[in-house]
Amino acid sequence: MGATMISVRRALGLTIVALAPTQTYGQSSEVVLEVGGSQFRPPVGVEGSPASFLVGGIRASRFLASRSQLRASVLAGRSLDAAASGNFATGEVGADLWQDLPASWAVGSEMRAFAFDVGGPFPYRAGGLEASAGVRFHTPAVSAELMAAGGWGRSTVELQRYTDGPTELVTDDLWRYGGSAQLLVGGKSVAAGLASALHESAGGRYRSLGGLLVVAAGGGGVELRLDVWDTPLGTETTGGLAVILPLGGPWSLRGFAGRSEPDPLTLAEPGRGGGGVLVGRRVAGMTYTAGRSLHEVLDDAPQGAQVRFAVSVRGARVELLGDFTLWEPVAMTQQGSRWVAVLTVPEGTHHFGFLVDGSWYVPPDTQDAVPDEWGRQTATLVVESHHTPSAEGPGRQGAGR
Amino acid sequence: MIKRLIGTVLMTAVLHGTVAAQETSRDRAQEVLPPDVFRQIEALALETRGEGIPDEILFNKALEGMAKRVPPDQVVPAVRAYAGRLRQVRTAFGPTSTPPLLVAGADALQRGVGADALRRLREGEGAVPSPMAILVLADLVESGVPADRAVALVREALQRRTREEEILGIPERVRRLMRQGRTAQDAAEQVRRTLRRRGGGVGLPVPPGSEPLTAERRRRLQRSGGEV
Repeated sequence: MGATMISVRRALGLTIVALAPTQTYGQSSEVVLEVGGSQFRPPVGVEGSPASFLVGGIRASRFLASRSQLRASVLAGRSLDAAASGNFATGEVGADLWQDLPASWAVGSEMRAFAFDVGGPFPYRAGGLEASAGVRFHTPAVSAELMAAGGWGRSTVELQRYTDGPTELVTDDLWRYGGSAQLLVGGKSVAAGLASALHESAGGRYRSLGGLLVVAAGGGGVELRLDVWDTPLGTETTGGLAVILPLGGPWSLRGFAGRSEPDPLTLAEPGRGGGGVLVGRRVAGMTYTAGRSLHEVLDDAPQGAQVRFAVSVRGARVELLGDFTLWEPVAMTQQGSRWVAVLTVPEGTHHFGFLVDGSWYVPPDTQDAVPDEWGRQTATLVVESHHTPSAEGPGRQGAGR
Repeated sequence: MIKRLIGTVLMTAVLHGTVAAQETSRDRAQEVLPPDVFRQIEALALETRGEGIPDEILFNKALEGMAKRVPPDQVVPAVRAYAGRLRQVRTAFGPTSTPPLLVAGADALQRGVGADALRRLREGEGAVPSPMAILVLADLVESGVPADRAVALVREALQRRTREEEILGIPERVRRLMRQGRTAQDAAEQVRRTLRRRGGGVGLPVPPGSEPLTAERRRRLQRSGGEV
């Protein structure tokens, strides 16, 4: 469940399924072009018929360690009925930065800057910054998250209060602060839990309590969510079904059907229902599904390098051993679902592996694993001086995977 | 407090590694191996020492077998076979072969690279190739790229002064093209042409964890303590 989390964000009465990309282990980056369509009824409090949009955009993600990532996206929609609703464009850049701590904990911060522009009868623009910080506790069976959040922004709407009257520009400062909590319990593929949030905002107090069910399989996922919102304008129930599906090769699909949630920062009202589908094609970036890295060179060391070894495996005791330990087991430390050790490794081409509860183990998809003389796999690590022809300056290399 | 705890954990592990490294592989083999096995390995090491193969490599292989709980009677034949591959590498790379190169070369042979390909790689680089280049060659061959194409590709990368992190990313670039329907041979040729056109220096990112250390990555790791 950890790798496939879907978040449904709302913009201007049009729900956009803005997923946290489903990162395969080893994936480093991706750029995805998307095109699709959506149809939504106007938000609560706005009269009108359902509006249909052709939607297209591009999103880019750079995946970092510890489920951290940098992301940027733009999405534009063309209204198929200009009289009912305007075209829109929205953009966002953001960063999720997390650091693993011992005993399955992690601390982190998530930030985003956004801007959008909507045409139509009442052109509306807004931009802002949102940031949150908090802690996570994550094990294969339980995931809990507690975040404190704040946001600031500004919106401008062009209003024509009277027919044939002058157009008036109304600018509002936007702000919110609050917190959220989420608890998920389940296995690797299915998890269910509760989520709650409380925000004070320029528009008043927003509170929510809801439940969610997440099913993850085959690189895709489904999230079913239901929230009850207490907003300054009344109580609303929102939620729906969000889906991410790999379609094979570079193709993917994401979609949403349901009622979108209100936004305490932009003061967008809850949606009244609708859905949309985007088909994406990865046009750049790499997915390294073929192999898995077990080590990371952290720094130079005299006659070698300081190397961090990590492996995801279940066991009561995991030990690292290789020729650099003279094949003597070194206890690893559990950090979440991973076992970690840092050693100084001398220059050379090295062989290593792990003992999991006393049994030899090298993950089956380890890159550059070498079959040994006894029918087992051994991982490889090369630590060498930077002596090959290169445009780079001197340094120490950790090759091998 | 948390920071101090992490530091303690890391320091413990580092110290452990340092202490272990002070013992030689021969010393440890003498402790761990059954006496008759040790004697046979030592005899083999004496024999290969004259051929330019350091003892430590063979003792390490024997220790590896014991660590993997291999029955002692299967250790000596395995070390003997390993010594045979080391000899082949030594012949291919000549007298300047270093221990890292010998080990990388022996691994490459085990992964299906022919001794002739190793020899041609050396000719291409004009000097003794690096273990990293051999690793990439083995990865390519293991992925199904014919040896001659794999050698040509690695040679091209080395001659074009391609950055090492990009050389390490070559096998994945080839596999990606293969996943898109190219044959291994065509994929390797396509990547080679790309390297030639660009003159190196441009490439797809390598996956997290296999990235060589760069100043930026070091800063990032220091900030995040990121996972591998």
